[in-house]
Amino acid sequence: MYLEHLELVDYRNYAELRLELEPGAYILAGDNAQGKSNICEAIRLLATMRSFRAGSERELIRWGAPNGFTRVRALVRQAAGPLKMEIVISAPPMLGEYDGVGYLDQLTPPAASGMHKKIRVNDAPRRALDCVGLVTVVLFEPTDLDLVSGTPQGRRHFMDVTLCQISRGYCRALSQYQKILTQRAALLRRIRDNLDEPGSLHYWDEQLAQQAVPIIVERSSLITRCLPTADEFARQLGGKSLTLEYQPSFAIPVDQSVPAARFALMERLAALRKREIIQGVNLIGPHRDDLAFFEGPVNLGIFGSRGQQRTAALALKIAELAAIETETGDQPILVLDDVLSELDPTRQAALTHRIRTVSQVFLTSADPETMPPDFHMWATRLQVRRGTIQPI
Amino acid sequence: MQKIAAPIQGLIEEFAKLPGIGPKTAQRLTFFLLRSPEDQVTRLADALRRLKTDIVTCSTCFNIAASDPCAICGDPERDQSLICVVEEPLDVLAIEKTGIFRGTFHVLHGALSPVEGIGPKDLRIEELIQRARTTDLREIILATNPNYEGDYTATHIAQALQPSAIKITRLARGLPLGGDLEYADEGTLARALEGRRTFE
Repeated sequence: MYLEHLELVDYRNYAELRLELEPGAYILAGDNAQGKSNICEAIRLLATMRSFRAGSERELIRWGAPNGFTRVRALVRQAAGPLKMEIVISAPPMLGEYDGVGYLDQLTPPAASGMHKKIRVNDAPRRALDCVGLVTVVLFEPTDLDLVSGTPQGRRHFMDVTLCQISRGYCRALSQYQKILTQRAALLRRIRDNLDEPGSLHYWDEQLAQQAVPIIVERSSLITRCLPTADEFARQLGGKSLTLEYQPSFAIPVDQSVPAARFALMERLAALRKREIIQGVNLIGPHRDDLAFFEGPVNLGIFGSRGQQRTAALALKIAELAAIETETGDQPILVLDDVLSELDPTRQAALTHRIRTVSQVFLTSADPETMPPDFHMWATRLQVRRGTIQPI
Repeated sequence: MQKIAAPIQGLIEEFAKLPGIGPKTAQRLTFFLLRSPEDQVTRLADALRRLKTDIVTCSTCFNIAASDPCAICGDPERDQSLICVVEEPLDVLAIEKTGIFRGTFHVLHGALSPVEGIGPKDLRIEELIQRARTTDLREIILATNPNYEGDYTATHIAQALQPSAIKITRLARGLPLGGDLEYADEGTLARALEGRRTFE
């Protein structure tokens, strides 16, 4: 799939931007703080309905935007046909802002809450959860280079974001699972403080097992599918063999049925009962899973060099691209935010060669001259300057 | 910086505390009342005051009412052996609107939620169990909301009532009337499939 039209209104530092695009590669060149990553963020927003950078969605609205909202519109060409998407995020007026009646002063409640997000797909309003993954985007940003050495949370996030774009069911299970975890943890602490009875946990064990099992199964299958591509690309990058190992905190044997797995998980929870109550936390489940990278017997997260870790992270991202394509039958849009400059020339060359087959790629760079020369031959260069984009 | 007279500002602030009312609507309501005839404003003020002075909680079903027992619990036409358990007084209204329920209610005043610190003792659950022991009951319908908190509450009550000969039921869940299959979300549709019934 590819973006044919992207329109931003009052998004970050863009007052108004209209881009007509074609399949192929785009280099977004520009100095720091000109708005390169903001474009990446907006494209990613189309896939995940959430920003990968903003703490609060208020940050997405341009500072001083007259109407207190931001709008992202896109026309995406997909194998299945064109897809029109519109995301409008609005905020209640803040202190000192004009709200149409007068300037608000002490009357205004704290303005942190009350963000509104309205989504329209092909002109029909839709819920955010139902729109995740309609457009698929694989994003690679500098922090992803730390995927291998970073926190397990980062690796779980990788699995979740990938799977949410592939499977609506996964997205829903994950969102339910989060709710269950929160209630269950609170209940564990209440039991510890003698405010509730241990028997109350049974209901939450059941719910937890019901949502956890499909999450574990899907993650496991994702990593299995990523393995061949990741290994192949790691070798192209000059590495040796790469193995990915999904490490669930509760493992499900391949041949086990879903009801049997649920039952086994509930038994395990019952066995952990005392410890969980004493600690007041959920001790097993997908929120405790991890993903490990091996070169032969060597765990790269622990013993790998910085270069090996980067190679593995890059290989995983390329594998993600392939996995989403296989699953959805359409190639995701690839966004490489300031990543190329972090790689040595050999890896840059291998990566730029690999992405030639991707239907649409966006690369940002503060210093595009350092990119492999042949890449300039077939990529379109756009200059990003203070919230505007011009072809070069 | 005071731009508006204190009584007006005070009312705007009070309105703004209400659910669904933002600062702008609060201003609009206040100025509307300012321009309204005095008797209309007085009627509103009286209605507000009576909300607290003339309202009691029914000691049987714990619904808010004008008298104790409430109109439903005191109605001899109502089937006293049938109790519909709901979370909030508004749920009573919703079920009453159907016009097909002839039993009585029990209002829990919330749902169990460990995160919000709401445990069994914070709801009218013990009262329900007492009621089940002292009344000759045929059936208890658990009509808590179809979400985790509501389900958890229903499960908790069902367990607390055991062992018992009373029939315990839960509201069916599935497709809304007049709805379109293609617009139903997967979760609802799955529940509707699970809960399908023989065609009669």
